Amino acid sequence: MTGLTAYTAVADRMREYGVLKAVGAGDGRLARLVVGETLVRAGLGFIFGIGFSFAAAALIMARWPQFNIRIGTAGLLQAGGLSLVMSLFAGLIPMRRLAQIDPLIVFKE
Amino acid sequence: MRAVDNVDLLVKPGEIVLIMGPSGSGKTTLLSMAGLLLQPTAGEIAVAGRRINGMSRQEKAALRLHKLGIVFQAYNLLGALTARENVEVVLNLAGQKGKAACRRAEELLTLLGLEHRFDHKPADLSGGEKQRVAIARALANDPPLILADEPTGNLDSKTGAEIMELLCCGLGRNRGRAIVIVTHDHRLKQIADRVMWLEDGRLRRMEAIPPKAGQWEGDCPPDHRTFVTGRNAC
Repeated sequence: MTGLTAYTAVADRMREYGVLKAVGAGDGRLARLVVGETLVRAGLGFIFGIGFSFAAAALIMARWPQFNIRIGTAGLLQAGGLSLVMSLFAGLIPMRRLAQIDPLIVFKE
Repeated sequence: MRAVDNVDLLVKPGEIVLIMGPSGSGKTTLLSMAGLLLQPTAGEIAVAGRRINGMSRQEKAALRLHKLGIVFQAYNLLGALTARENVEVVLNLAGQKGKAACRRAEELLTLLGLEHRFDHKPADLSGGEKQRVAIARALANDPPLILADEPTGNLDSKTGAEIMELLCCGLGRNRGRAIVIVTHDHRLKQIADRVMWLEDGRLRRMEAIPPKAGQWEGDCPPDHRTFVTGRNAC
């Protein structure tokens, strides 16, 4: 999902990336930009996800006291670590598309 | 048919060269090659004395960043950024960040009469204001060469004349900067030194415009010149 979002974000902003290439941004610089955006997006998603999980756990335990949901630190760290690794891989998915963007696009209306 | 065939373009510091011709004559192709955005099939290109044959993509990007400024007909500003931020982007790419980049961006925008528009996004700017931001962006890293593709194409005649006078005389020739302009606008001949007329990818004629009183003249050392030489190029 994260990879698809990253790929779509690049595809939607081809002209902008073309402009950046035309004014002198190198492929490496743009790659770091895309990976950075992917990490930020994933990080925000992780924070909201954790918040939602705690809120949902509290609601469920309030409604059905027989359930005891515990979200431990180890589990959080594991989920966070996995999110980070997966985001990094996801950020690489649009790299080829990014490299293929022709800066000559800037001369087309 | 070749898009550009056997065309030599040599530009000296402080010189303003117009490239004119009918649609499809190869003007933008020639400009793209001079801008290191298009690789010719034969011939040589040098920008500010540096030959680019054999350079990697990264090296060409670095040369574009530091030695070239490009102004487009469609402005090509980044819509999510303010006028100041659009100029700062290029400064950041060149390693200038923070307050220094902010000051430099504001200084350029002020020179172009946009001191009240620093925090406005492109959607809030008129066509003339957008083109001024684009010019400020092109000048951000103080390049010795500016390439402009139909810079007045989307502007009314009065606005276009004002902007070109500012770019070519105030910020171009007077500062020893070379400017190459692709245009259909014959009025720009008033501020040019030379006009190259292309048809079907070939140079049909070169017209030298006599210097006006007070205009800078002078020769330059070879290592500061920019040239594109093409034999059966592209």
